[in-house]
Amino acid sequence: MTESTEQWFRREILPHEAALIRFLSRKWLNTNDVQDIRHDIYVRVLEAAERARPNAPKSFLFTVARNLIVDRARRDRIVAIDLLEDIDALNVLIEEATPERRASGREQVQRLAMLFDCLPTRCREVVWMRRIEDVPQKEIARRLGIAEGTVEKHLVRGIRMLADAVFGAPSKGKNRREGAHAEDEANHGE
Amino acid sequence: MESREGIEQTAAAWIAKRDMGPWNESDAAVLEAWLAESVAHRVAYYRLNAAWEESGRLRAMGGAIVATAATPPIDEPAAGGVRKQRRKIFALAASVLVASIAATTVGYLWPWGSTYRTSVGGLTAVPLEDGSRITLNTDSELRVKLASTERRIELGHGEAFFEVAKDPKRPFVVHAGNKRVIAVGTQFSVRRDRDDVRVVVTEGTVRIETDAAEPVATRLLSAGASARSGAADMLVQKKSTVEIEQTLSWRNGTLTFRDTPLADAVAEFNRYNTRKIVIQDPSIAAIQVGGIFRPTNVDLFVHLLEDGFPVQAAEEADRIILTSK
Repeated sequence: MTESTEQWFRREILPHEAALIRFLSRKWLNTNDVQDIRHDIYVRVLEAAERARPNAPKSFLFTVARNLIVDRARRDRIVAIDLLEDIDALNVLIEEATPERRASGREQVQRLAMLFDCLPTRCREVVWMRRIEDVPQKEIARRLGIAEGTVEKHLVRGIRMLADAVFGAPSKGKNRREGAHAEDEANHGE
Repeated sequence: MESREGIEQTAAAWIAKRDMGPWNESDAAVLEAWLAESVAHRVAYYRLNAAWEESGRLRAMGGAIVATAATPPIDEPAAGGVRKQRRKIFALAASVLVASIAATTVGYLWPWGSTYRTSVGGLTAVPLEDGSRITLNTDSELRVKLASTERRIELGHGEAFFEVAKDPKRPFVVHAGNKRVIAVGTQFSVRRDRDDVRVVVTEGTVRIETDAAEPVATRLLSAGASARSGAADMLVQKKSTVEIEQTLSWRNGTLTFRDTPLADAVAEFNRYNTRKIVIQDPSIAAIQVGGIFRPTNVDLFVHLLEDGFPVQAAEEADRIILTSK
């Protein structure tokens, strides 16, 4: 059986997300912009890959990133010199942006356990019960004393935050944690 | 054009629905149709789905890894779980809010300062007026007095992590039995169980003074050092950042073990729970375990042990007895 595009995308593209985000973050301070651009880059990569898989996925990803940044800079009329300079630097970056080194089992477990720490308390509870303990939605709602719809809301949110934690730049982790704590406090009265 | 946020939200909702059900063929067909609609939908879905499956590996590893740890060459740790006693977590999360809950001033007993306590399984942050911050672990008690010449902390029992605000004129002194741990601006933890005092320094330098010796014995510890001492002796070890982080992982509400003898792991769990684990067979005490656990989720720990090791657990009302299988 040939590999699905989804599997290909997962294996060849997603491991570079941290490097991509790091690069984009230097240009756009706004996290939303960075995520939007990241998304647009992925859309172009996948569009192309569905027609024909690129031979060198990593360089392809960064070439797409480069083109998109140029387009966007033109559109937004941001012709900051450092932006263009950095685009040349991208060629170097491609070489540096190695995918995550193979983590040992121990590191993987630790990393995975850390992921859960990135989530706000209530959200983490829900995700953990679903993902690790396999507790049914109804039971989660009962245990936490919240509506089933709320359980789903937390799960949806958790799924999105996990993706940032799994693939995103590690430097953002701290902020997420702080955000999570702030929310813990806000949720205290629930 | 649809926003990236909106698309991701929909994709996550699909994954959540598929995960929790009910899920039937028509749902699958609707999802397929949604995916076929645009590349943007597929991108968002592939990405979130990959992360979701990745997170699920923790469950698989949790079971598999403890099992493999029994065979020495593959010494990987087990993944830990969230506690079953939900109430306690919320206490834990809420403890960030702090002082109001745990702090009780008992001025009549102690001529100075305030006393802070945590119950078994508790975790509390205590911000001090001088900008320092104390994190108090399970079953601990300490007294604080900020005087003009000394910031005096007395650790009655238990464990605390100190983030000390700089103030050269007022040293920050933690009294633990016959030991004094003295800092100016630094981060360290002190754990006391009667005469057994352990100090871990994560930043800066602290000085430890011991009263028992004549003259007073002093010892400097810098970042990365870990000291453990009885009434008169002291063992100092240099630890790696990873080891230090593991030792102090309780601050995040987790226990981290790494090639830890079962007896030690059990002793750790017992600090956090009133329902104690008892090892009845000395033959299993030395089994090495690893992993990250929520300290109050004893059940998960015991289940993983039973899964992966020749260990049998008998649950009684107030304790769990471990025997060899």
